[in-house]
Amino acid sequence: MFEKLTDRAGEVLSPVSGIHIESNRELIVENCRRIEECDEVFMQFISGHLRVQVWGSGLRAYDHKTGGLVIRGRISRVELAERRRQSDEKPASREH
Amino acid sequence: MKNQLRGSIKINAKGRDLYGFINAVHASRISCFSQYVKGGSFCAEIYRSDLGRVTDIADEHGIELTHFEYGTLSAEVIRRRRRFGIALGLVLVIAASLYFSGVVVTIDIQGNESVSDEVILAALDGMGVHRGTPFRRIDYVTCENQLQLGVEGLSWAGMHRTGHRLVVEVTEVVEKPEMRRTRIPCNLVAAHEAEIVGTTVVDGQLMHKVGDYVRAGDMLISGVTGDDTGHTTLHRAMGTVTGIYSEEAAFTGELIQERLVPTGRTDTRRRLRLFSLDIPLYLGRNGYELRDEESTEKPLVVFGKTLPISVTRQRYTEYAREETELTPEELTDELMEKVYIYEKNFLSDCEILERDITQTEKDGTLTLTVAYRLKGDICSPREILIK
Repeated sequence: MFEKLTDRAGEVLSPVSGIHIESNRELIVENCRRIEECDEVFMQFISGHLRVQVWGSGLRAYDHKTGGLVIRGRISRVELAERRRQSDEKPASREH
Repeated sequence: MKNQLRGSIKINAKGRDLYGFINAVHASRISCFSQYVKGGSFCAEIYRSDLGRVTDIADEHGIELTHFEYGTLSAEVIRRRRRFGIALGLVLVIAASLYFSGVVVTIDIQGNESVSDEVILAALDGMGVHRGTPFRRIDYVTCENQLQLGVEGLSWAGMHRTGHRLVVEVTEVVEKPEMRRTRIPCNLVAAHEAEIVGTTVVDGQLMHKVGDYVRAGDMLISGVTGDDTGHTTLHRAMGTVTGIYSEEAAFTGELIQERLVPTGRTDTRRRLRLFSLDIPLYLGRNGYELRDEESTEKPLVVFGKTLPISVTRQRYTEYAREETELTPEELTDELMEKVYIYEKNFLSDCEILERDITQTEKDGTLTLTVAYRLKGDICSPREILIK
């Protein structure tokens, strides 16, 4: 309950997430809330109001206890997508 | 380096709620490196201290967790934590380091040539300064003064500490140089009875010509010259007068000789030298009446540094007196060796024209009489006594 509350508070108070890319070797993401995919060729995670998708090869994720995530490897593509609100997502799920 | 100290563990997680586990690890703020999922299995590296928490999270999410620890420095230490010998060795090394840093390990004497190290070390020993003495007990000023006063031939002494070394710097008394006697007026006289075969005069007046026969003590080159005005000049006569002369040498040896012969018995004894302490590593005394002693010292060297700990090895060889009867041929060979040495030492600066060897045997002794006919410089300086 408390964790959900703090997560929600974090989303509201600091919705902006910093993303820093260094060449095609390293990508640093602040405020990573959830890891959804952690493959060697594809990683997907939630940062702030964004869903970040990373394609590449030999990808590795490094977690340094800061809430952020460092992805190293040969990055070929990064895609950022805005997350839909839960209220928007619910009707869609009902249709199924 | 950090991984070497903290210990690095590779984990492998499998299970249905794999991403729940991954996110739980992420949310727990656990340092987790090199994460990736392959074939439904999550691989990552964590610090050893986090393993307990990761195991708990894995249990909560029904994840099967396997782990492997890399061979880091801390892992090696933990693996050997029950080997008390290592800890004891470390303690001993630290104790030895602390001890050796506070005492004199080596005494380095610099600047001495005529005064030997042993003399200076003995003087220092008399003042209580030797290997093993704590540096704090050394009164440098007093020792320096005592060294200057106590050791003959030293004009100054200085002492200082460099690490575990006690450096003693000394300056020796410079002796007054001896007067050179090469400029004193002199004559050259004949050292042997000889026939002159060659002359070279550098300074002075030649008194005999080639072909003259001179007796021992005859003047060859005079250092006193006079001119028409009656003025007399004194010189240092210099030159070479080559003559042919005879010389005789006799070499005698006994046919029955008492010699020391090794019996074949040997005894090796070792002594441990610890600073100034000399500890015997044997019991009893060596009972050989006649013996030859050979001593070798092997110091302990650590990282190229010689420590004041050494083992002295003394090897005794027993000898016995034995009467040996030599044949005249054997004795002649021995005497001929002496003749060779005599010629090498005393006749090397002249030419041997003839060598006549006569052998006589009398009362158990053999005598070789060698008559030489030599060609060489016969000049001998003799000072001119003037008032």
